[in-house]
Amino acid sequence: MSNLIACSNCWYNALQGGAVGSATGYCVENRTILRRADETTCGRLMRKDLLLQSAICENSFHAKRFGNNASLKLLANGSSAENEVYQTSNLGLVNGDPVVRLVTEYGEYNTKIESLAQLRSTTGPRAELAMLSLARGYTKRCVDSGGAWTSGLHLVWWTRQKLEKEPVPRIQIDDLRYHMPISIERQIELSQWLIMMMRITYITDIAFYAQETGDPISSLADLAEEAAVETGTVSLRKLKAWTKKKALPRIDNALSRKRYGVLSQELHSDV
Amino acid sequence: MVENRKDWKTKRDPLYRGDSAAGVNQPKPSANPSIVRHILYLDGAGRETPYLSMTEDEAVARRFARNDGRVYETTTAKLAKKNVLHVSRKSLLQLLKGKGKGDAQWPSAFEIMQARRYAEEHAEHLADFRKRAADTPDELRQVVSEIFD
Repeated sequence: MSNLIACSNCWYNALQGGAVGSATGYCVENRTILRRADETTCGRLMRKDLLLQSAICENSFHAKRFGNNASLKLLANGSSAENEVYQTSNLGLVNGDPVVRLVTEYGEYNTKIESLAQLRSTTGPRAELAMLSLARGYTKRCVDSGGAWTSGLHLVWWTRQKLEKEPVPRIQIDDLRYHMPISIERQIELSQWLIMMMRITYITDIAFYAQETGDPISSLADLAEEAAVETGTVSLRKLKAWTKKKALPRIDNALSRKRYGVLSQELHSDV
Repeated sequence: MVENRKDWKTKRDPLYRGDSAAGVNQPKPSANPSIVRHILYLDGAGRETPYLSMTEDEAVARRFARNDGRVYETTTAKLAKKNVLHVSRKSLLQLLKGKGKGDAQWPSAFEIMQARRYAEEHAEHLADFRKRAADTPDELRQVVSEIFD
């Protein structure tokens, strides 16, 4: 299904992920509201549903077809979608919603990590989806610019905290942007599974970035694969049980609370 | 697991496909037969695939047709008549487990799970054109146009 390579499935659109999210998207690269995010794309696409290496690989195919820039294109034929049918910069139309406000302000005042912190403390699956999507882009950009995996230290710690304190994200019918031909209970389960997997995916991103340093957190590079192998199917119950029994002990072994404190202090003393 | 979708019957119910108004995308029978690659839309826009995705649900097809496309309809009888294999949603869900079975074997269990989620969410079926490998492009185009109304 080709909308998997559309803006609606991209890290840089933090307002949509699978069926979760709002009717309109928002691209933090283009800084525009995406009115028809299932129909548009650009050469910077980074897919939410893939692990880091696959997402990078797919981006290279995509950039060849759609250009290595953020110019909005029509997925169907690659022609320009930079008109008001597909996007708008009129942020006055959406500012009432706290998640949308935080996403649209993201990076505007050089305070990306502050926006991510605010999303972290905002209740609801749409805020978490936004934080996890933007966290992937934020960390990749820091690492690509010569930064260390610790640019995502707080983000990975917050993600670990979520896995413990709210293992299954609370999703209500209002959090869904469209409906599927399955029962609403199952649709919500699949959406909860998606967000739980996004948490695990972010942790594996960090582990991948840490591989060259040999830091213990790099041992988590196979965490998402292990989740899939051990649960064997798309089961929320199994994923929740695996998270508690296997994932959290592994994460704590790689990044204990004490070690997080030490690394956090080092990070701040570098600033 | 709560599923509760209405029972789709092979011999009774149609299958839908959302595609361009100009016509249904052309499959490539000799292309990589991985079901995971197909469902996850890997290898980039316009990649070749021996499959065409279909759905039990017209609304899903409409979403994939987008505003300027259209919804096409077929039946498993039409597929069989043209020697095109039907891979049902139930079969897909059985294949997309663990490390994958048959044409759904794939090096990444994570990607198999994502493909399984999409297959379930979209009530997806596949038309498998690999038995039409001897067709010329024109013959294949004709077959596709006769299968989808």
